[in-house]
Amino acid sequence: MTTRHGKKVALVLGSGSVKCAAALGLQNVLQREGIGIDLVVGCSAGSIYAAMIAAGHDPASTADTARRLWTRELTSQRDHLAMLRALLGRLLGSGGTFGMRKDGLILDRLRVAFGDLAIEETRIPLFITATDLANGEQVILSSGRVVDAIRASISIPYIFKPFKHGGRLLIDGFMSDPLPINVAMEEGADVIIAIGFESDHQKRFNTLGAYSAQLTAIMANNLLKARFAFHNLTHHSEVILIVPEFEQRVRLFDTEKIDYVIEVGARAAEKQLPYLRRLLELEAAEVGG
Amino acid sequence: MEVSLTDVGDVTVTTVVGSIDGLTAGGLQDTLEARIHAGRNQLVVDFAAVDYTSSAGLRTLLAVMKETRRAGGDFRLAAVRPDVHRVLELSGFTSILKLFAGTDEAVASFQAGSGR
Amino acid sequence: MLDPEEGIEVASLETVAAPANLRAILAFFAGTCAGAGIAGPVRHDLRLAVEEVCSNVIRHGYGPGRPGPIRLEVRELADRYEIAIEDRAAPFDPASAPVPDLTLDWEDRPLGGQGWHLVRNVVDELRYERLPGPGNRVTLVKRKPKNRR
Repeated sequence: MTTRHGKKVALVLGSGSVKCAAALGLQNVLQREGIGIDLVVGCSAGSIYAAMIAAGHDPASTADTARRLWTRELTSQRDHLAMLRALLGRLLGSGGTFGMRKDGLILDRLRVAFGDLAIEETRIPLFITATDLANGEQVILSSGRVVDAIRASISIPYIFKPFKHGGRLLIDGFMSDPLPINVAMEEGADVIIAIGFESDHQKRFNTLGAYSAQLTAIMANNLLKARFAFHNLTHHSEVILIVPEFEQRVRLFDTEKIDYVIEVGARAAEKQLPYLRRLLELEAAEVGG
Repeated sequence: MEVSLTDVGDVTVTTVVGSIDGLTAGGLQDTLEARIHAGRNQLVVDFAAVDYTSSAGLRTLLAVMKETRRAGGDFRLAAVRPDVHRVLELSGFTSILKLFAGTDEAVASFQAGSGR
Repeated sequence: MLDPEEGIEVASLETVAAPANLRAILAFFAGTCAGAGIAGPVRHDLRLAVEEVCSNVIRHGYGPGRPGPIRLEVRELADRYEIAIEDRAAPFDPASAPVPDLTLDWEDRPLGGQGWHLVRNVVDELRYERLPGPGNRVTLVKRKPKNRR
């Protein structure tokens, strides 16, 4: 990826679970155009894609990893180690020993994908955001294990437990800001490409779960708009906001729709490409390019 | 693993539910051999609810097949699932054992001709 | 830094390779699959290979009446699972196990002798290592499905 401009370009991936894969469509377009990225910010599920991009993975292998990592089984709360202990305790008596990782499936899968990679070691500077449960403040993670930062950032309330990190209990990054462009602004980015997603509104509110999901969607969407407006008022970076439009509904664990999501992301990126090129003061796009 | 038996004329239909592995194959073999020794040598085993068989199960199937054939009867399988079918194929059992889509066809096959 | 080629250890079991412990070994594998989200054809094939290899260690590994240890280790990597089964028995290379003759008539087919043949055909890679001591380590490798729709 060659950078043909002198401006600092940041990529900010907001919360949106499977929809965040749209960033891979954008990444494809940027790579094709030879437009380099100088820093990546990720929030919630966006942090998974941000980390893979920052670590230098190509979009195809990132999509593959995401398909394996993000499945409905992650929400199963059963304590498999305790079950195994009960069963094998009976069968083995004192005639054997066994062990099973206690981290839980999400951490297991993140470890398989990222190993012990530290945020400081990524090819492109990486920033992952979470929220302090005690005071609601945004927490910016720019050091330590990638696995821990992502786990903290995706602590979706009621689905994943709050994650203890650096002496704080952290919850999902979207709770403080679903699209943390402030981090890119504070890092001195000249051009910020932000991919944000609105939470889907529920169609019916006849169950407690649907009602609660609708309240969360209302608050998250309003928070997204309010924070975005505020950041733009108080800083001077150029922000290209990409909000991909999905005709099909893409829900929390609709991982099988990743190919469709990537396509939507690429289309949304193509639309903004002329504007991006002008901001980067690149030559006008070749005719027929 | 659960085993239940029903007689349909001269044919005994055995329904197996679960996995046939090193822990359960022996019990299945005992049950089937008891029927053969009681004079029932036309056996159909319904595999619709069998999710797995290891080589222990294959040993049982082969042993029972040999016994029924030597006694002038046969041993036929019905409704074998894809995973189990692949194992039967790999071990070359699909060329020596008769497989049917359902128990009705398997039972009917005994009336169609001789026991072989 | 964790070598991405090593993956993570999901679960491990060490016990005596006696027939009475086959139930525990199979239960351990089933429980590990549940905890690690291993499912579908991958789970079926690994289950079969694990049962065959462990049954062999139990039946033939050690001398009569003198069972020794057996150890299983399940690892997960980005694109595959690897299960290592170790013992401290006399060296036995799976490559030396004869391939069954599948052209024989039903009357001539021997009972048994199918184990290693099934193992080789349901895993993507079968590794063998002779250990000093003596001992054997058999590693079963099964790739994860591509999950493309």
